[in-house]
Amino acid sequence: MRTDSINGIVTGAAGGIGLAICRMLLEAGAPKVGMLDSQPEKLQAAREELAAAYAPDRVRQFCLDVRDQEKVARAVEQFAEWAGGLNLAVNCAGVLLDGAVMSVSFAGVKRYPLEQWETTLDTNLTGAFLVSREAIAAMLRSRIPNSSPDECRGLVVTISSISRLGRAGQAAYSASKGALVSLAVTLAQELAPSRIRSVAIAPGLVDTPMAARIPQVHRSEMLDRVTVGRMGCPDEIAHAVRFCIENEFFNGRVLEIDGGAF
Amino acid sequence: MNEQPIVSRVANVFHEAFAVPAEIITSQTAPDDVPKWDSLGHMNMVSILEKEFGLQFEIDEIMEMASVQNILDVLARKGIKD
Repeated sequence: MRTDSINGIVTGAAGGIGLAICRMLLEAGAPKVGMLDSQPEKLQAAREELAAAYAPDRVRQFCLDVRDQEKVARAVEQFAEWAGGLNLAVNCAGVLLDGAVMSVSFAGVKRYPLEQWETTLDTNLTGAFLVSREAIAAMLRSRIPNSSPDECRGLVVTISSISRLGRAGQAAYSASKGALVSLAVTLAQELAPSRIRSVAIAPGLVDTPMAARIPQVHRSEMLDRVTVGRMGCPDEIAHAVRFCIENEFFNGRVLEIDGGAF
Repeated sequence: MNEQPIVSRVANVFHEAFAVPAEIITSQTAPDDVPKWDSLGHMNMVSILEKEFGLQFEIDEIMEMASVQNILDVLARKGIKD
């Protein structure tokens, strides 16, 4: 797929990696980009920034919580109608609510709250499922002018994490990010006959507002285990998304962009 | 028999658990003084402490360890003292 033929939606688009992906798409000539996010003010500001930098008629915002099935379905439908089709969905929305499952310390016995577990799994995993499901339905409906039978007709990119294999203090986040990989691989297998690809990207520590909430001491500890010795930038993850778009032999796999973390 | 003072052995445990110089650890050291001494770090520190002194702590004892002095008190009750 050519990036300049992308009509795509990105969740978590108001900041960090999601915003960088939207910017990359517009910069590369994607005709239409849909920005989905649950934070109205941040989303408005991000859309205005991109509309000013590129063209107002190439970018549209949808303020919603990815856990809301009906709003997700409506937004995807509205985008596809506005853009004349949909061929990319990027699942980037996520929350990070750190905490050990169970700990005993000077602070007493602490159990990770079920509410936080559910918020994390619902947002990071179920949200990606809902967005992927509706986006795939739109991709299947989309007509691709002059496309060959070998050409990919759509792509789902799911942002997982270096924490997908487990990380102390991040049980909910790790579990959600691990499950996202399973979802991405499953979608790749199910959708291959429809010429829709599905991939995951596993970023390491990236300089985003989410990473800024990780206590400094733990961030330093993580950085000590990054061979390039620094955090990644959101643009470097956006660049990986572009690779996923343009390399049609890449499917059903995880692309690790973590600075060689060990 | 380990001839080191108990507080020095505890300081070495802190060095291993929290990567801080053992020299800065005193009986007055508390969680706020050691950046990595949070609830996860505490569990790790207690595990190293148990290995160092060859004993096991009860949950109440683990929760009592809100400073190095508290740790020394718990150890003393278990017969570990200078």
